[in-house]
Amino acid sequence: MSFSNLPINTEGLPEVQAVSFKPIHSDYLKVIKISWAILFLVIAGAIVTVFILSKKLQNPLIISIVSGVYVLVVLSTVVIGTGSFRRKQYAIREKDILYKTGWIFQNLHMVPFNRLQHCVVNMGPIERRFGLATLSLYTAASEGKDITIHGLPQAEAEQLKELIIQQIQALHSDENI
Amino acid sequence: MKTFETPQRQSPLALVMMFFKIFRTVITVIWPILIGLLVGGKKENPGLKWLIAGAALLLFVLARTVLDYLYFRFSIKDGQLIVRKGFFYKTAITVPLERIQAVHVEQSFLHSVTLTHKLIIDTAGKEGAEVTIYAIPSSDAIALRTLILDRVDIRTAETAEPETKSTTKQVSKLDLLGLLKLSLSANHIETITVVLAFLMGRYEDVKPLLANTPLLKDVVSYGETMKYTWQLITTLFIIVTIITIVISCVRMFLRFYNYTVRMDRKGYYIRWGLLQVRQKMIPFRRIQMIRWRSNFIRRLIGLALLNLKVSGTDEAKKKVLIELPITDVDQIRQIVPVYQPLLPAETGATGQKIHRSYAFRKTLFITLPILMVVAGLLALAWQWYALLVFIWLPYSLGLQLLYCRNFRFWATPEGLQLYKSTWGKGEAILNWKNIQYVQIRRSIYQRKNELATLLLHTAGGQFEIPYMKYDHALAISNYALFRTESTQETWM
Repeated sequence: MSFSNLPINTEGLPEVQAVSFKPIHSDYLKVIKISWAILFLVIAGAIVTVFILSKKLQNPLIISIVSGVYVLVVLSTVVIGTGSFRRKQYAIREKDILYKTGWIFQNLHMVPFNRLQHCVVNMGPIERRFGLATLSLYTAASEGKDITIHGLPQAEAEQLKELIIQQIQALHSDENI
Repeated sequence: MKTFETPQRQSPLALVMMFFKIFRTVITVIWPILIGLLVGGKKENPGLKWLIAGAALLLFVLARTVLDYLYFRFSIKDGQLIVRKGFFYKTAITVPLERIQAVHVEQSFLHSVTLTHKLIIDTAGKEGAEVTIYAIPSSDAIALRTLILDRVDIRTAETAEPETKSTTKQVSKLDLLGLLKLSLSANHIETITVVLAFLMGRYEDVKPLLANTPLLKDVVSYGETMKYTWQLITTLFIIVTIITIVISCVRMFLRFYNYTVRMDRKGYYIRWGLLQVRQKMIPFRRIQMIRWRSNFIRRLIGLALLNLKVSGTDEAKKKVLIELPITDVDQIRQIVPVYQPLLPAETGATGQKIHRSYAFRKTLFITLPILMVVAGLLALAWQWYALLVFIWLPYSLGLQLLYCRNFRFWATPEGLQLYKSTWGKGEAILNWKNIQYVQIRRSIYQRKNELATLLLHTAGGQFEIPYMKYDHALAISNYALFRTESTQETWM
């Protein structure tokens, strides 16, 4: 059995830190703002209905607490969500895809193409209106989330999907040789 | 050898096995209703009521069993395992034989009497597709397993060095003394927590039964009125301790009795069982990561539990929990080399540390909030004495500081290894080729202090190094990507 034990030389390796990242499309902020508006309107509607139906809840103190919590949740969602939006950036290299997310907790995901099982392009009704799409990347990792890149222009998402599928098929044909 | 090209049914014995399985499933769902029927309702014609309910239940289970049996057929055609099942909800499973991960053979007492075996065929894929053949003649079971495993291991056989013999070698066998040591050194606190959680979870369900059964009713009413003196508490504590140790021993005996690990060039063959003999075959290529750990007592007496982290779905992982009891360090040296020839820690490379701020952050953001919640709940009964729970805080901080001081990780061309210890200890090794993707996570504090948490995701779990230097995390990430992208070596 041949066996080697060479020291790791990381100096000549391509560096993730040297890559310039591209932000997701600015229109995606509009998509998430519309989604929040719909969500919080529905929640507000439900809360108001409960307060109208229940006489016990029609107390100034309870109303103030619930309104305060509601405003706090809305504000924190908007502030954190907007911060997170600005941090969402991606980069495509020859052999992998890099994706930055998070504002308070920042994450950098590095996914080699040869580990991808498949990928899916999704387009919600609001995204479609702005010509955007979401690309989900699936690996065989058993824990942790699958990587989902929101706010890509539809054409770019499709191109990326094609590129990834080609990479996966090329790998399978190599294995079969 | 039989080719299984024609779709075939299971052995008629499968009817019995399937009946009990379906019966058990139905009972698990409806048992609270049965208790309700037993203790509640009007007492008119209780015998007739039970007879009708029992007959209906039996008829349903019987019909379901017969239909499931008749509509289950399996075959192997064009290199694919084809299973068609279901009467109302029809399912057709087609699995290329190369995608099958493992074939598990089990034989209960009933199987051994009727010369049959149960086969569980574990397949790849996120949907948790798994095929269970409840009973087929032993000769067919062996033929089917050989047929599948021959295809499963084509890639392994093509790349492996040719061997003169395909005989299996025994890696470890747990004798009675080892089993006893393992039982006595088990985590009894975990056992009592599981037992208490189960009893508390079920108490509300069986409360009506307790209130209506004469003897149990007296015990409950006595328990509510008795005075809890120190003598009584001590006696109860001793009784609970003895019961816990007995339960731990029973659990360990059921789990590890006659535990034997053998290996050949294809994989590990694990065999165990007290009431029911079970066998599992784990191909080497399916191993994604290896971990071993000892609690304080096991560390003192040289025992450990070794986990083979294998690829598969969550559901499959629960069923194929591959935990090998280790009674001698040399056994680890025999098991690990098939995954990684040399442990990174043994290459002479310097072990890297993590930052000690991890201990303070974990205490501040995890231990302290938990203690505050516990103190808040206890304050309802103990008033100011509830603050005593905060004595745990300095102990927890000390433990976390010890964890940081002892934590080491190694990154070498062979792979990654980590070592952690406080009272007990644990180690893990990861081969670069098994990495699925890399993640670097940083909080505001970590960003200020040039720290990061590195997560290496594999198909068998994640390998986490917390609070390491950011530039080291980047260097390891760059190297991990280089190793996974520069070769077409398959990860499974």
